[in-house]
Amino acid sequence: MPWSQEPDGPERAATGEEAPGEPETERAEGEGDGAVPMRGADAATLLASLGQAGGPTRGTSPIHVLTVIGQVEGHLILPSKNKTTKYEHVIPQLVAIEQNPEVKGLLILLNTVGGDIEAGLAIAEMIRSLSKPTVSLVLGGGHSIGVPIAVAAGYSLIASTATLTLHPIRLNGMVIGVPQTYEYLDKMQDRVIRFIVENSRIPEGRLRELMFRTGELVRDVGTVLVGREAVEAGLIDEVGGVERAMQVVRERAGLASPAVQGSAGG
Amino acid sequence: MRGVFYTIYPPEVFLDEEGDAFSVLDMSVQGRRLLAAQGPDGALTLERLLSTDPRDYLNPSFQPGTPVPPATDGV
Repeated sequence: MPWSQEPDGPERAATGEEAPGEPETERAEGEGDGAVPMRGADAATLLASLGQAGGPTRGTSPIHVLTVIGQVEGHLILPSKNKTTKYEHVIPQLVAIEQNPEVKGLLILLNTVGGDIEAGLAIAEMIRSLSKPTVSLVLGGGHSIGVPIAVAAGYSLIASTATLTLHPIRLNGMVIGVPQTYEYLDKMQDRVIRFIVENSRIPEGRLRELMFRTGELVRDVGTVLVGREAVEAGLIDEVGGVERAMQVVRERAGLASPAVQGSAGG
Repeated sequence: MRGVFYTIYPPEVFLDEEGDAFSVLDMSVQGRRLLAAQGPDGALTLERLLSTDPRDYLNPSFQPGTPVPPATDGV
């Protein structure tokens, strides 16, 4: 069994001597009065800002972070020179996040060139069907199957320099030899379009227009949207970064803003 | 069908086996899942931590490039 033996929840955060910066005594956030200097105060401040709620400091962060990077890898193991997000890792992590009562929300960071379409849609469907608040942030790129993953979250953000590429599925080196293959890809295409339309504000006609636009991409069909353009198109909710993304997920998770640490008591 | 790739990368870029420098092991160490790179002498270094708990990423034991301790949970 490759997974951690713990019965519920994602892999637990380090405690005790494995986690430098943790306060040596268990105490709730906000009780620190500055009278006892904390070991590794800077790290502890950062940990607190990630959302250690009041109560025992042991246990896991209330906001978890999933990074989707490189190629989304599905049934086929890609050569190891590729950086990949393996869907068989992501799916159980999402289940664990759904199950663990300590986890209140999920931030999804994307910088992906796309990848296996079914694995990507599986990840997108799982994100969409989590009962806890999810916020996605596209950094760098959210191309191809990265678009459904980004819009699957309850709220999506894009960095101002990040790009989304919308393009048809069939134009990616796949050879269309027989009619069955064409139909299969066409159904996949419709499935992706439907998912994006159902999980964003973009009208279907507009999405199809952008996906099938000719003349914009060199030697290819489709559209590249940069930052704000993705918001204007109705795909992404807001242009923003990590701070804003964390703010949104914490709000939606019902967590208070992190208190200012380290200065109380002088 | 082996899989439909919906990506901006052309298949010859990501499917080509040439240029694979090292083997990558998928393993669990102290309850965290990680990818470890195996050097020519067999030594393992942490390539990537796979955890959704942000606190794990501040743990010095799990920084990329760190030798993977011998007492692992198994591959």
